Amino acid sequence: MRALCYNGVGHVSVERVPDPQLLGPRDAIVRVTMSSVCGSDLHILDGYVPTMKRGDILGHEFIGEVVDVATDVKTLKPGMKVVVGSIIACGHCYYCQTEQYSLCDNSNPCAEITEKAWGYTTAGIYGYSHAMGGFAGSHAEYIRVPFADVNAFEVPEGLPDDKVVFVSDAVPTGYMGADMCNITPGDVVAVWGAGGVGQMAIESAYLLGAGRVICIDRFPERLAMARDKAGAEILNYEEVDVREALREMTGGRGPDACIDAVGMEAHGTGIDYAYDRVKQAVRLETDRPNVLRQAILACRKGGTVSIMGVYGGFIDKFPMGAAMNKGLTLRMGQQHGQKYIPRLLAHIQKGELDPSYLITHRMRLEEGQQAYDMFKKKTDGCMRAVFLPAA
Amino acid sequence: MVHPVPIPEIHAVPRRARRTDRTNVGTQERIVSTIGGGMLVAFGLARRSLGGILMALLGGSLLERGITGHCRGYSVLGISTREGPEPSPALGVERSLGPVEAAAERLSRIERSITVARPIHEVYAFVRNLQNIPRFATHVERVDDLGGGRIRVLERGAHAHAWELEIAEERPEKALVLRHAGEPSAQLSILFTEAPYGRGTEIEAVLDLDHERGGAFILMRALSVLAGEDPDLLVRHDMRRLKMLLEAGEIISVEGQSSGREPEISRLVD
Repeated sequence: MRALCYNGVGHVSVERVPDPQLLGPRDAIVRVTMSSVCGSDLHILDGYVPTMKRGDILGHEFIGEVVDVATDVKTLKPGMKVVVGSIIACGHCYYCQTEQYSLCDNSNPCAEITEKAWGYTTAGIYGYSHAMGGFAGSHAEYIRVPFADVNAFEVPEGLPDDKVVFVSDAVPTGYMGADMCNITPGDVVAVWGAGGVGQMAIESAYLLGAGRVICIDRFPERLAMARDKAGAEILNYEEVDVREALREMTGGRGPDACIDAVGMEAHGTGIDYAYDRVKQAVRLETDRPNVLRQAILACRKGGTVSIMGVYGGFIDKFPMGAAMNKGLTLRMGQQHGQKYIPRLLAHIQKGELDPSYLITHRMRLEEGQQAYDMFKKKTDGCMRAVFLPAA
Repeated sequence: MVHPVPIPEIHAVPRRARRTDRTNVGTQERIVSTIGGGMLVAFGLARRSLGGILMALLGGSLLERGITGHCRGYSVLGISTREGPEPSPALGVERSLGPVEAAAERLSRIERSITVARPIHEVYAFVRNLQNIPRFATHVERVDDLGGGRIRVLERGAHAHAWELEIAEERPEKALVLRHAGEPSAQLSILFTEAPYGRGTEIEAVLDLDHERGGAFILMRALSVLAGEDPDLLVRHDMRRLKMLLEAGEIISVEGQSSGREPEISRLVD
């Protein structure tokens, strides 16, 4: 089969590789009908994710059709259309049982690496380095799905790929971000990042009862999308002092909850951004916390900062004084897809949510390099490029 | 020779957690050491000669002992210039041992715990059924019950060795203790207890190794780490596999999956 593989920093290429096989009794093989790029892939391509090897198949956000199941898979049958959570869960450990699926104990075959880095191991993720298990990714014609009963969800009849593919990752990530804010009806929520996850966080905040959602970014087309499609008020941080704006826009209180949908490759305009870039370049700092700092400083007293943007290592100059004295609640995590996917599919079925507007480009695997270059630079109004492997 | 060790307590502080870097340098001395060390580093680097490098290295070690308050030389010699009462030894034993013996003793017990979300009777029964051991113990090919409380463990691989062990203690849902009486002697205690609030079972594996020849033992451990066969890592790895087997029903693996590193043969033909 053909697969889009990592080929060094900034490079991807299509290779012909063996078709996946059933490797364990709970596996399924899925024929991928659509696979999306994701902001977190950029951390890989920009060289911020260690333990990548040339030849690793990329991609973790996908939808497809079951073609084969192993002996212990009971709920799936060949021919079934499924959307698969990007983070792999076993379904039986303490964390899976308490719906904290991204913390699964048993889905990472290279557990030693994350155990060394973070003290304890976390779940495996498709196409996201050997530290996260080294699983083959979804930018390919076929993919092997472990613990398929737990991780693959049947797509309700009549829903097209466009509407459902992002339920694999971007929608549950945004939804979890909003869910962790403990929104009281009427709350004002500020979302940093107008990419795929940010857009879904805005939509989810409204679904969960927010009165107003304010979105912060610097790309005019993305901000326009946040305003026109998701219904947010928008702020361009290159033109506006965000903290001052947020204070006035909320009657002097500050937003009730702040969602970081940007993560470790944040951009900024001040001295602090320059500081972080320099330290990162000489490897004295691994992550850039510009958005995180701003969210903590902007949030109202007693509010919640919900962190869905991916971080990997250490940050400098964390405003701990502000966070502690304002009594903030910080909540964070990789998305617990398996917890949220059923209700998200229900929202989509009822017409309450339609993520398909995120798709701006449909491409072939062979156009992988252009797709990622365009996605990274946000050229041509690119929000999300999706691959159709069969093309 | 590993003398029969009493069944360890499951929640005890592990030996590997014992700190070996306790402050043993007095405050005044630390200040002098830091300043002196810093000066030596500066002079040494400025000299730009071999002598200068050696001076800088010496200065560096003085700087380190000043900043951290721990002098390795002092700990080897058993001296402490620290003021105030000596901290009461939490575990007592090492006070009477020399530094090499103390290090060997610390390294001689490997302890790793894991929590399995299954009831204790199921976990104990699974482990007690020795035929299950090769399913999660990566280096074990086969386990045979020889009767009379004796078992034979056959290693995996080309140079497989067969070990004869005795079941020294067997307390259902509490402990299973295996001993190897021959050379090198060893004792493996597997302890079980219920995890709180219905979270399942805590299992601890305590492996006591023969460290009579202290220095040789430390060397062997170091070599095994370099060879990628660190017993501590192996125990951790195998315990994780046991947990995966009991909870998820399989040990997750990516062996045999596709990647761009083994392109299809047909690529040569394209």
